[in-house]
Amino acid sequence: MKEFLIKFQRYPLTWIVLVACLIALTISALSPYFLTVNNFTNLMKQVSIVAILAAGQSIVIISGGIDLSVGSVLALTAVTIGWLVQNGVSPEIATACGVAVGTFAGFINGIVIAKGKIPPFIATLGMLGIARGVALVITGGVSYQVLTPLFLFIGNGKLLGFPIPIYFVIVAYAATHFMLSRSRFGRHVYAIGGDEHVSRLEGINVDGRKIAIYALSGFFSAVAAVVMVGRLASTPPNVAFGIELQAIAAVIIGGISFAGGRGIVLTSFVGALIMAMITNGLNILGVSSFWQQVLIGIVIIAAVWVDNIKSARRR
Amino acid sequence: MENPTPSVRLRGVGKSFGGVSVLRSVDLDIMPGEIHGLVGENGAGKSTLGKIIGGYYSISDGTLEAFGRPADPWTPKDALDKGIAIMHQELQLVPELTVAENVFLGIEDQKLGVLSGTEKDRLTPIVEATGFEVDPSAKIVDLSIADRQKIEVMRALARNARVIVMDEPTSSLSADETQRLHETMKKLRASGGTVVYVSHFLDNILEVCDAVTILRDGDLVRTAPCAGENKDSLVSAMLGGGRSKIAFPDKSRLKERQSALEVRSLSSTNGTREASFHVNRGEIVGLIGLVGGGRTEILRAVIGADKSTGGEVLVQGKPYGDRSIAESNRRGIVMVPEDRRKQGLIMTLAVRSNMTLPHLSSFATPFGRILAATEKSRSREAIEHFQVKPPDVDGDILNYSGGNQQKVLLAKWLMRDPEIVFLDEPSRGVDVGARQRIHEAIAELAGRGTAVLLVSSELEEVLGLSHRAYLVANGKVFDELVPEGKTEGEVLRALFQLQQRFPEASAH
Repeated sequence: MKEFLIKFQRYPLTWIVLVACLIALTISALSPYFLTVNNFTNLMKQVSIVAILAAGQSIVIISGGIDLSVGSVLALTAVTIGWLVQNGVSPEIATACGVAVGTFAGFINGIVIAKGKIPPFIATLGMLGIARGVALVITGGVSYQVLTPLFLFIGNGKLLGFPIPIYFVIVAYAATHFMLSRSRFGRHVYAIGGDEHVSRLEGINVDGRKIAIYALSGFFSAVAAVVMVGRLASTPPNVAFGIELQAIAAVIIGGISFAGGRGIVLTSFVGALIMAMITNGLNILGVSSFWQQVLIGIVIIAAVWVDNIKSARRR
Repeated sequence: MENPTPSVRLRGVGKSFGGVSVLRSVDLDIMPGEIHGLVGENGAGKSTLGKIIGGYYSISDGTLEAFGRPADPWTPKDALDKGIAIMHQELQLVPELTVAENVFLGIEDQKLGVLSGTEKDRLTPIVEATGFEVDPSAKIVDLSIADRQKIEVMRALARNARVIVMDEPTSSLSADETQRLHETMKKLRASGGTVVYVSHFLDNILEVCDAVTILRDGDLVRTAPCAGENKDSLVSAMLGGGRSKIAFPDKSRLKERQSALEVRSLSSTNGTREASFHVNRGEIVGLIGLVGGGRTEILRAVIGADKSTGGEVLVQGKPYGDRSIAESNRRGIVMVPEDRRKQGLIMTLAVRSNMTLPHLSSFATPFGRILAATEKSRSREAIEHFQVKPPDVDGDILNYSGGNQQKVLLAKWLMRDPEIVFLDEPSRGVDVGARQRIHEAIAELAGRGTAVLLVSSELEEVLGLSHRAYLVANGKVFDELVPEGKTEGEVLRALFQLQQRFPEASAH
């Protein structure tokens, strides 16, 4: 029993979930509307896109890297889908093509980082510009309407009473969690993030793994794009501008070490949820959105500070 | 005549790392204006002692005084403030800055944060005092190592250092450069400076030192004037007589001579020069040499961690070209590296994950799903076999002692009986109990037919474990010897002779 308690206490999810509950209780004490089914369904819809991006970002950050291009890759995927649908391609095929394009953009990130030995920050900063630029070039800056049944269903449909985007989130996190905790690939992600040099000495194909990691992040951006197209029923090329910082913030608030090698993906979902709750809660309470930014900024710094204190004690 | 106050005085100084004692009750006086040599076998504690004087290591026991005052607290900064500087084996200069900028780095003349640009003028008196001729506006990257050492010395002088500790300063110098460094030391002495000279090159010590201190296994043997010493007297003191013997496991008998690994005049980019040797199945072969003699480099060239430029490697009689670590692992050739923290273990992973990392494919389905139960049970077996403490498969490797980390490292590479194993310092920084277990494991491994190539700075260990051994110096493999019946003294003398025959130590 005592052992179980220690394990429970050490489990990375424990504390962050407690923090999330605390925030939820605080806000609901101030506003009875916050903890209603309606508001929570709404909240989940709002959080879904950042949450999906944060899943991909978690893999990248655990491997010791960073992906700044997720927002732009999302936009590129969205306009690819919009443009194809506009030109009479079936929505299913358009979606498949869009996802392929997003994954390919991530793959290019991986190639540049692994083979070109370019730091991830710079490589993905470049892709942030490239993908957004290409999205604007394809569309000439115009937004396409995508009013097909498939996307209307993704955006507005429900299954067992829950909105469809929630299922995307669940599948994304379940798959990522399984991959990171139970697969060879996942173990290598942790190893590379923990010590890339040693990983090479162990005979791990570090370059190949990195390419796969960034391609995967591109894939998650593309999946988020599909949800985004459903919710907007259109594909504005400036969609999701700056969302990469929210995704990174979600990962950091959740408690994954920015230095790499440590953490579990499920905390990133909680991190995304905390940010969404703060925004949503303060909206309900009528606090200006300017103050919301200040608060989220403080939360990010506080989260890492607390983490430092915890890990300093562990040594 | 009244005795002057020693520059540095140690009384009963002891030092231990994670429970392993590396220095014990050292009493030492370093007098002003002398060049004081520190000698001893690898691991005798001479570098540790140098670092204690320079403030890099804190002492575990005893007292340290600098210029007659207690040195407490004693950090590198405190030492420098009091006038004691340390010159590391790897020089710590900023390569893209100029000579003058490096010398005054951190103590620049400035007004409100704006540099006054007086570095060159301030350099002049130091240049005059030392007689070093260097261009103050040359960048460090463009200088030879010997010149860089001069800059390091000037940097110490710019901070008014009266004592400079030099830790193996000649290990990457040519004979000519060594001579010039010795001139530097003499000039320092002439201007009233003190030098602590840590080296395993006995000739160098005998050439310039006024006094020499000999260490053995963390104990101070004696401090004596250099004039009364010679190479033989130093070597015998370094080895000592009645050292408590560690019992080594019995060497397994070799039945048939079946070649596992043959290396023919292998040269590499890392300084291996036409190395030739062979290891048979079930045989433990030692590579004996001094630190920096190219032993690790030979292993790295064979396994494919560094690029070869010539020669060939045969595994079980078949040529193995185009080597890489991944391919070597696939063929069952593995290397247990010397630095467990930087090369061997991933400190963020659990014990189990560390152990199985290189063999994960044998614990996973073709689709890459890890078979957790198999992985756990195999890890548990390995942990029990090596007596890792605590025996927790999911333990946090960061919290394990050095000896137990080392067992995990060995368990990792040995859990799937490899064909050929390279062991680089397998018992470094490990207590006696763990060492015993590690030795047994190595002997058992060879008994099961694995070919073992052993590098260790502890002669006793190599001689005690190996069936055969080769002498290595300067990236080359020299004479073969049979350890049976050889004393450490004989082997050490042979090594020092090699060093003398090839004085251009590692000046590639």
